[in-house]
Amino acid sequence: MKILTRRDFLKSTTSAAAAGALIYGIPGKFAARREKKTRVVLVRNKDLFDKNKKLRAEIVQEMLDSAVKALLDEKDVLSAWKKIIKPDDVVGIKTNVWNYLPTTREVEEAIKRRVMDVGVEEKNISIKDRGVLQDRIFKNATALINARPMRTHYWSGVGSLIKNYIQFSERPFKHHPDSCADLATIWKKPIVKDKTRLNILVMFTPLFHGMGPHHFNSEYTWPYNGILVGFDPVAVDSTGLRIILAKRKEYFKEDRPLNPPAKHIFLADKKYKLGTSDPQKIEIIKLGWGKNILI
Amino acid sequence: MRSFDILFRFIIISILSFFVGVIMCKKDRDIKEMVPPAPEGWKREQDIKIFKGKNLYKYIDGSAELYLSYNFNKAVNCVYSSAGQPDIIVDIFDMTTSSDAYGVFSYSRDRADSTFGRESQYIGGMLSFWKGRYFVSIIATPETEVSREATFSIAKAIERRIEDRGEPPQIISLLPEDNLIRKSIFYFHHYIWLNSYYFISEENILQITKSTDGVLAKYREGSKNLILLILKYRNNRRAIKAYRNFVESYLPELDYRVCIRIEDGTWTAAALKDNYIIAVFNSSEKRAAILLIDSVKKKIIE
Repeated sequence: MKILTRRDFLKSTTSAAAAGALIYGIPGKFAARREKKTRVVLVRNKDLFDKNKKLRAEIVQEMLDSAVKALLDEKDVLSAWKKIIKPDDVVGIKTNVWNYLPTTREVEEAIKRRVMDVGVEEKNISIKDRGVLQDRIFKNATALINARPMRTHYWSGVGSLIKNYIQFSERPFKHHPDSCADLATIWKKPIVKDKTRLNILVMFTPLFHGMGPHHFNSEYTWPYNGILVGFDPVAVDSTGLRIILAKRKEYFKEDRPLNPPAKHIFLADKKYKLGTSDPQKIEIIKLGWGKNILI
Repeated sequence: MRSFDILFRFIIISILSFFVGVIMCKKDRDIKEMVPPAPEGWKREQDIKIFKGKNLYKYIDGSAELYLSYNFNKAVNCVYSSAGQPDIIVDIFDMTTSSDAYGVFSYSRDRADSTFGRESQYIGGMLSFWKGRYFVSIIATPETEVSREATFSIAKAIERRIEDRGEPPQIISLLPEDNLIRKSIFYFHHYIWLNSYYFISEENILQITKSTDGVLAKYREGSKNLILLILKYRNNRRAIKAYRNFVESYLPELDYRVCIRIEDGTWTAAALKDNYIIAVFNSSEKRAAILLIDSVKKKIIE
């Protein structure tokens, strides 16, 4: 693959250029194209948190249901989920337990509830982050649901849906070189290949900037009150990344690219063909609260 | 005779191992002693943890790479608690050199002042500073007035325990002062940080290695900022090789010129001076870019 530079992205109006411009934070204008688009649903609700800043579980469920219905063009939530999961599926819900910003119990339970509504027995469902390689359900899973929050990350640019599968690698550190550029290779492993039925990027209080050894400061989170849902993890990550970059621009009052850029999202598209990161190939359906939507 | 020889070697190795062990224990004790007693009303955890080299992953998986991309040696971690208050997490990183401690600090410098150590900043419950070869982070979140007071008290106590003030990397002195945005100065020696302010390439086209000293800084230029990059290589040969690769990959038209206009209308300039590469990006004026390059060249000669 040719080495791509800033100038290549500026010269070209191709899909790679559009995706690169987004991920590497290069300002540019690209011609709109008529192409088949992958769908990503963004749902926001201003009442997601109660007055004590606690998540309202019923609103989380409502948001997930709306997203899944819109994603599948279904009016009924169960009909939508039946297109995703079958009653005889063995389902692994890959969550994220980072203690500063976890997927949240409410999201996990909302997913599990609908999986069970479809008819999957509870004994055939597992919710896990670390230890998936040792987990009986994950080892025998026929379906995976990938759910995590988006946050900036010291080395990979952002903690993304693509990166959430690093626990499926026997040697996670093997994926560290070059800012985790080749994370998408994990998605080709037999334990996950072609099993992911749904990707949920939690954008309740995303982290748009990090500092210190724990890379967390609540100063750099904000109540976005959203979730992004789609079948294509790269498209969902790419959309979440646009929101993070827009927030950085708003907060720092200047273009502030991620440090380092989220190269793994770009390569997941251009090199590993896991999905599309090109905003022009993504149809975003926006539902609910529209204030400060940033996209 | 042979068995005597083996026994003799075994004894020598045992004695050496013992002394190495004693020295290492003393060194560990040294960094542990940097953790101060608890302020009044707070309790310090008995368990003071030490992390060395790649063992840091066990503590801060995901963030360890930043420290490892500098010259991380070891870190000590301790937690302070008080009823009704957030825990205060103290991490002291021995970065081997003051340049590296400065580098880690410069990664997330945003509102720095000199309240603690050589430079410090306090944002939303998180205090960090560098002094000598140490980078110190103290976090209490969500922040309260009481936790802030205790955080500052712990910071002062740690600062006092670091005798050597340390100096910023020498390469910083090559930055011209006019229009320099000081908080933007970022020191590094791993290629991954090259694109920190401005994406140049997805590959390491400037051939930056651990032995390369790099500094990035922003300069005010009207309503926009231009970016200055200075790289110091181990020797002239490496600098020439890196410069050729950079020009071939990024600025093939450069040829005998110093400055060219790229596709977005901004000017990019690059020059080689001894074992240094100097480059200016995102300049709206050709003259400004060339002047900045010339200023750095002069400072190198001085």
